[in-house]
Amino acid sequence: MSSGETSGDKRSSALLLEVEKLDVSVASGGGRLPILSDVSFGLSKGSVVALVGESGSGKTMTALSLIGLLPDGASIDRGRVLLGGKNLVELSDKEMCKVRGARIGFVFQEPSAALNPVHSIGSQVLEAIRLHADVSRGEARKTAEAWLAKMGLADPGRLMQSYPHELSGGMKQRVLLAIALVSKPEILLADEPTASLDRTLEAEVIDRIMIEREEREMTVLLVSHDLARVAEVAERLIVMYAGEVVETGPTPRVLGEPAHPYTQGLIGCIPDPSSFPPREIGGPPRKLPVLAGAPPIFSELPTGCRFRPRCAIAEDVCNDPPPLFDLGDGRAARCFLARRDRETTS
Amino acid sequence: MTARAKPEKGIDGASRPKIDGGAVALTQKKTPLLRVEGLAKSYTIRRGLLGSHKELVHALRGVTFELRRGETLGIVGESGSGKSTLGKTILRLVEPSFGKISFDGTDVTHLGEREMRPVRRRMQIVFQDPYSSLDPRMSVRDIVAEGIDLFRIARGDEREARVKDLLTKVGLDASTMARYPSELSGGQRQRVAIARALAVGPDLIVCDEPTSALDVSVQAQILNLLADLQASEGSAYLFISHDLRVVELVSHRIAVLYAGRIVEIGPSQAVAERRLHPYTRALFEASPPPPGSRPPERGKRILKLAGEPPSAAAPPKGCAFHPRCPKAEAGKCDTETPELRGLKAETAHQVACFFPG
Repeated sequence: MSSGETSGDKRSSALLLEVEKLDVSVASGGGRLPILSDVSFGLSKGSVVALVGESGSGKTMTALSLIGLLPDGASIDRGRVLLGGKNLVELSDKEMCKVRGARIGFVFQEPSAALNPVHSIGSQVLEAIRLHADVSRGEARKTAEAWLAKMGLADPGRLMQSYPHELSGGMKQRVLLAIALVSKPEILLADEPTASLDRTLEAEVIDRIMIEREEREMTVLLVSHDLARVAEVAERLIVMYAGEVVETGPTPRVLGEPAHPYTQGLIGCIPDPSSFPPREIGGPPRKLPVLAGAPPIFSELPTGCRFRPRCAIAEDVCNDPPPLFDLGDGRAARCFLARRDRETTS
Repeated sequence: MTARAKPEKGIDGASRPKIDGGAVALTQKKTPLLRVEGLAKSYTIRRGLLGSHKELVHALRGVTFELRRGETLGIVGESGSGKSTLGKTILRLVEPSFGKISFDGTDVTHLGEREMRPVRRRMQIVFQDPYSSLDPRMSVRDIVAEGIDLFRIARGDEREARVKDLLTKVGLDASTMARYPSELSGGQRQRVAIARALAVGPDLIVCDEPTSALDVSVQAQILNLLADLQASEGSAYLFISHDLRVVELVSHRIAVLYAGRIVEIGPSQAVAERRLHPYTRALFEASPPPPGSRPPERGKRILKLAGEPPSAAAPPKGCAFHPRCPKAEAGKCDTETPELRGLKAETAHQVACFFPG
């Protein structure tokens, strides 16, 4: 291993969760496709970190690997997931069940699919409470109502009697968040928790997560395609592309001076109306800087840097696969040119 | 400038039927392309066991605005604000309950299906979900040619040439023609949907959340495509979205919809800067600022929206926003309904609030 290669986080002693060189592949037509390669990052206790990427970047697969919920046909080929020093990859299903929910809580994108349509909201919240704590029915009911109220849901008593179809998407997502939080997990894994919600409800759900995090130093991993939204609350960003981590670092630094050309392109794509002159009918069209092309498919990964075919500044050196270079200041980028730039400027 | 936009269309047949016949040249200068007055739409929905209980839902409650040729009017609001119903009602895909829709100076509110046909050719729609809006059994060629066939614009080789031309226009390779929606990515499907809309040379395209299902980099490509097409084809857009930053980017003017009513309308820059209605302010503050900018509001929202969006079956009395509004005054906002009006003598920027700004 070269000394320049790192997870980009030096406080490894304080890390609550550490992902080390994770490789995941899926079965495909007799062979196996590498859908995650060399994924490494760490979460320090109480931090809020966002895992950002577009469809197919591997961000959801990374999240699922952490809680042992990879889909059929997918498997971890290499690497470790360390929670407080214990390697989760080696745990049996039964042991993993004790970690999932209890120590790592999770909410996923589609709130309708995650709630059981034939059970009342109350019975689903109660089930989560009694799974993790030995309490009486009455106590559990009180706890459940308190959690629903804490999520900003009005009239929790009545809500307990309702069924999922009677709730709006925003209400369902907050119920699921309550279910994920009742066991007071050390880590909350939120995969696109707001993708199906309006901006206002999205802000509300993110706020609830942040309140809980403040109260008891919960660690939060937000998985999202929406860089602008998660950048508001995340202290660190991990940017993924084509199954690899391509950049990590403190949020303001990554946004202010993105090191990887993909991160630069991704930030440029986000609409910023204030950067344009007033719009007039028949006037010039407002055009966003565009990342040309599309991400590679896993059966046809380019050799060398996976972003090379779309990269405007690629050179010969990019025909070799770049490692994740440590750029200092807790930053890292999987780009030869980013590292060279740092060397020449410093 | 706006009136000459049409002849440049390479894909448009010369024999386009005009609604007003010879008077077109005159009316095009003065009348707006679209005028909507007091538009209302109510539905009856069935609830409860086996739909035993009927409920009247008011999706639109008196919407009035104009859209000029080549203009983009952004419609923004939460789910249930009525924004999608508005788009569909204007196209008469949904029949209005009250009010009037005028297209190019002609009242089209009550036109029969046959009289509506030439109008339909001039209004198209692009939906949010390119996965469900394209028929999976049809080839891209036949999807794009749907309007061409329906309006008998071209046949045989000419039809083929038009489809090819349209695909090139939306940035797809001509070979895409022979493919099926399932073989395409979300962005490619949305390009096909746009090509289908363009095929008949529309004056108005209703874009109903056209990029909400797409990744940001693909969204940028589609927004740029729509911008280029507006510049080359001169179509007006009614651009519906819950994403305020996207709406602010693409629109000349913005209308903010709440519980079936426009609560603020004006030039997009003015609405974005002044945020006269408290709901507009809350929407802006809930939208993440672009990463490049560092506005003071980052991380601390001044006006958080408490409570749920109102029920369309029983919208609150008075101003529908009053239960969630920090400025609401008892005896005023909960009893009287504020009219949409300009501040002082201003007409371009209007707000429906007793305590604006």
